[in-house]
Amino acid sequence: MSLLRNILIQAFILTSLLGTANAAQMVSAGTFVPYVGKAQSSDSGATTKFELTPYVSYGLQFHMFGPHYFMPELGLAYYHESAKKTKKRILFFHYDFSYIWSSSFIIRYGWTTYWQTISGGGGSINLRNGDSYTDYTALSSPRDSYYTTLDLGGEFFINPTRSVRLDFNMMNARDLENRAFNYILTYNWYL
Amino acid sequence: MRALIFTIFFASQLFASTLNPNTGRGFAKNEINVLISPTDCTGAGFSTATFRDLVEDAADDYWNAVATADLQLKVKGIGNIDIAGQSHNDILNSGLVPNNTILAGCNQTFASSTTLGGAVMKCNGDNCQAVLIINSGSESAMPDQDRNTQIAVIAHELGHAIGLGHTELSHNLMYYSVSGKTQTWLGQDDIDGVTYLYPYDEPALGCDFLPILGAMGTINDISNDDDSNFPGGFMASLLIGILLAGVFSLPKSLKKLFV
Repeated sequence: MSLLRNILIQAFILTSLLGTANAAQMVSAGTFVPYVGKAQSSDSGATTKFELTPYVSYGLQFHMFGPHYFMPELGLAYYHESAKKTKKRILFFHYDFSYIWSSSFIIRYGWTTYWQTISGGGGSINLRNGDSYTDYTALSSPRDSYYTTLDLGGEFFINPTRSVRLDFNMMNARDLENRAFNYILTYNWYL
Repeated sequence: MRALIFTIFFASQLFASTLNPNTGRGFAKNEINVLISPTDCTGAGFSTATFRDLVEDAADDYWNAVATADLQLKVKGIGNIDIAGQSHNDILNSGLVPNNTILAGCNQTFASSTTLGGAVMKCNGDNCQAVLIINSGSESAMPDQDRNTQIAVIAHELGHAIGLGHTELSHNLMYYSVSGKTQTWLGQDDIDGVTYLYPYDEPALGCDFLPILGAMGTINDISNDDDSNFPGGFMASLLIGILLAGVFSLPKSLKKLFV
């Protein structure tokens, strides 16, 4: 019943949006960097500032009023399978809005729901343990975790149909001590 | 442009977290008590009261700080379970450790002086317990470590106690050794491992503040996915619907891009 209700409501909203708005489309490619400054990346204690994790997305841009736009977007960050068969991918449901600051710059804000899946090939992995080696249990069945971030970023337009975007996603927004940031850096094509 | 795309798409590789070989799983609950044993820790270089503070710092600075995981280690006071002369399994088999609890203490049961500590976890159905022991033997190397390293060692053993195994990359906390490195944060393997075992379940920016986001933070086997636990529920499916509608109206230029 709830599924039918959702379909009916969505059909109404979609019809309204597509019938009245002139939606611009956007495809993006770039990198996703999680836990900026809070994940150790070397033995010296340095933390992650930048890494190349492929991120692609498709989004739309709906005019709301004045210089304000609604920019829903679906993104994907994919990590290559390791030799230990561990897999990870993150789907991003961006519910962002934008404010047209000038002809070459927009401010983006909103929130994103992350759908993260981690899985492994099962079995065991033989790793060093003190002076000997031990068989540790490998990750197996896929597990999902969902979390939400607050977003703030900017987009600089190189020309009317090409832009570069930097979005910061804030995790644990209400916990000052354990607050952490991810960022997404992309090159965007407007169609 | 093709070189750039090739570089980006082949640059990122995930390495492997592993799980504790005793159990291959985490605790059934995301909020886990940590109880301190009164057994003397002097041989490890600190008092039992200081040990409790170190355990609390290890929990808060490392595992409780993971934004994508819903793990909360609650460090309690010093209890009355004496672990002098007992191995991990002796303690676990004694039945003295309450369910959903990690018992942390010091003793001198380690065969090697180079071993700084160890932890063993045990589960029977949803009832899990773990024992974490720091080496307080006369030749223990623990007193030679600075406070930051002592906290990292305890955090490493807490990692085993919550269900994690070792990782192969040395900058991660769950690497087998702390020597020759400065450990201040968790590595990405550590973060992925604890997120795998204890998925994020904080309603702070979802279910109460923004109720339209729907279901969040549950742990699901993908094979059981259905409409009721789809992330973001109605809003996520609406977003996909909007985007699909956009795809149907793709201009020819975009179609050429993909052909």
